[in-house]
Amino acid sequence: MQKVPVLKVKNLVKEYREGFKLEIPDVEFAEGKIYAITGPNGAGKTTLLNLLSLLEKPTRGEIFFRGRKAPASSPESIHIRRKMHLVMENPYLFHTTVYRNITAGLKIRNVEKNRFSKLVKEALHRVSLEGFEARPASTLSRGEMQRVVLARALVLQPEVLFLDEPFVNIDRRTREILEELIRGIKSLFPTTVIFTTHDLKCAYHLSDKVYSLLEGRLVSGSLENLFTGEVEKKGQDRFVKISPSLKISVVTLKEGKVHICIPPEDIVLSQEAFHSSARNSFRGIIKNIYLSGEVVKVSVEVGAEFTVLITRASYQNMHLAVGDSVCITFKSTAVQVF
Amino acid sequence: MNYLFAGLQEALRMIFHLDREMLSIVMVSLKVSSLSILLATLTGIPFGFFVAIKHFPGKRIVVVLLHTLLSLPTVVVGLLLYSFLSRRGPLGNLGLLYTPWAMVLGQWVLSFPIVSCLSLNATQSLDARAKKTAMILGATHLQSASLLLFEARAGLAAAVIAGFGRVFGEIGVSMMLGGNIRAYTRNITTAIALETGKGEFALGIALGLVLLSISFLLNIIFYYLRNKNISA
Repeated sequence: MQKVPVLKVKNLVKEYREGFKLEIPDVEFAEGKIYAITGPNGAGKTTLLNLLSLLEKPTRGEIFFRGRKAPASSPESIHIRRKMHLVMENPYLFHTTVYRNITAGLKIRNVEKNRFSKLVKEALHRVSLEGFEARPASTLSRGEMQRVVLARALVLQPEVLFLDEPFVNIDRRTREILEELIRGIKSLFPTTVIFTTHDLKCAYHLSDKVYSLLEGRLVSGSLENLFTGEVEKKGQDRFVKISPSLKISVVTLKEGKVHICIPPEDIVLSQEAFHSSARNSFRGIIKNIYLSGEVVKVSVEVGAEFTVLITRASYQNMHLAVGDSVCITFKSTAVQVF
Repeated sequence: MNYLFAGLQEALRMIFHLDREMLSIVMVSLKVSSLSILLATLTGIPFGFFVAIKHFPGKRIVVVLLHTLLSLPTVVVGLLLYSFLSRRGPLGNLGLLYTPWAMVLGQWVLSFPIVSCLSLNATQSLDARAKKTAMILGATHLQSASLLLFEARAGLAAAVIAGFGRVFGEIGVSMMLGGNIRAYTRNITTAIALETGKGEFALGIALGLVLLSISFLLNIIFYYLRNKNISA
């Protein structure tokens, strides 16, 4: 039997008077996974997190928490909200001590007071701020503040943890702690992490799945290989011409001008062209290679610049270098058209 | 000028020897003003908080009205309540006129706008993220209100102290509703007025010094609380 997703969105729409519209037809977040949502400023990332964490009411549509409808601002939504936690991009600490800030959520949940001290100690240990209990929040540096906010989230052991742009304006040490936490959080307690970021490298590095928001719409994969073109028909086949020399085979019923996006992880990089069922195969030159942990990002110019993600082991086996001639191959079904 | 020095000398003697009459007057002032400010705190803070966080039709009018009532003349309050509490008035049968309870009521009417108005301002000046954080933490409306009130504690303390300062030093309501009855409704301000009228400066000066000392002490407490809040 298929597991019920921890969060599910159905035809979610949020409209603002200024004209911005966020539209998420259908998306599911599975339990225990890490999701990254990328997108430019103003794409609706924060709005989406506010909606998912039931802090804002959608104009239309529904959110389901473990299969149960979760309407924002209903009395039962409080119980669901207590199972989730959002760390804001610009978080707020109450004007009191670190200890009282961390225990605020525990008090709300009526956790026994004699457990507070141990829980706070553990949470502070996880963010490397041991002994900070009595420190007034106003005397903390920005990095320390961010870590206290994280400790305040961890102490509640939420089933879903939302992090809004967690890597913006933080020092190196806090970034390391945060990355370590996101990667290792499942070993502490079962949780699903959904974070927004501008940083695509970081999104791929830390998450199990990347979504992108573009003009209020959620797209699977990143927007790294994002192109615009007209749909052309040739018999049963459909192509999108993205440059004078490059036509991408797609599967779509749409017509006219469209955006297409090819997730970098769905592109196969090879030194020689090979026969396969994939309809798109192009030869080009390596423009750039970025090493980041176990993932290597390769930019290939094939009439348009494509980003391809490969593992470090593949990179080493293939002895790739800038200027090499390589082939990129991907299926028509991997191309997202919107 | 000798009578002034003699008056001051006698006043200091009264203070150091804790003169019984002076103490009785100070106690009336403290009891009446503390009770009225307690009532104003229990009603004014929730009212100001509610007006600050809720959106309702006519909110602007309520805010303007509250600010207007800040400068309510004490004699007007005295006159209004006198007409209600006097024997011929609608509340005459309660027999409250010329009792400390009438003074408490009058001082509550005076301090309520100050406490609620300053509480409203203190709540409105809170960072918008404070409310969102309370929601994120899963607070109910009541828990959220308690977190926000705690966050605005310095402003609320200022509201209560300002309200106390207003009623502790007022004379119109106390004179008109209390009647300045010795050892019953005679408080610091009505006693100073009476003693000055009689040309007896010593008790007046002693009471004036006590009044100033209490106001000074209140301000010290307020600054201590504010600084403690800023450093936290």
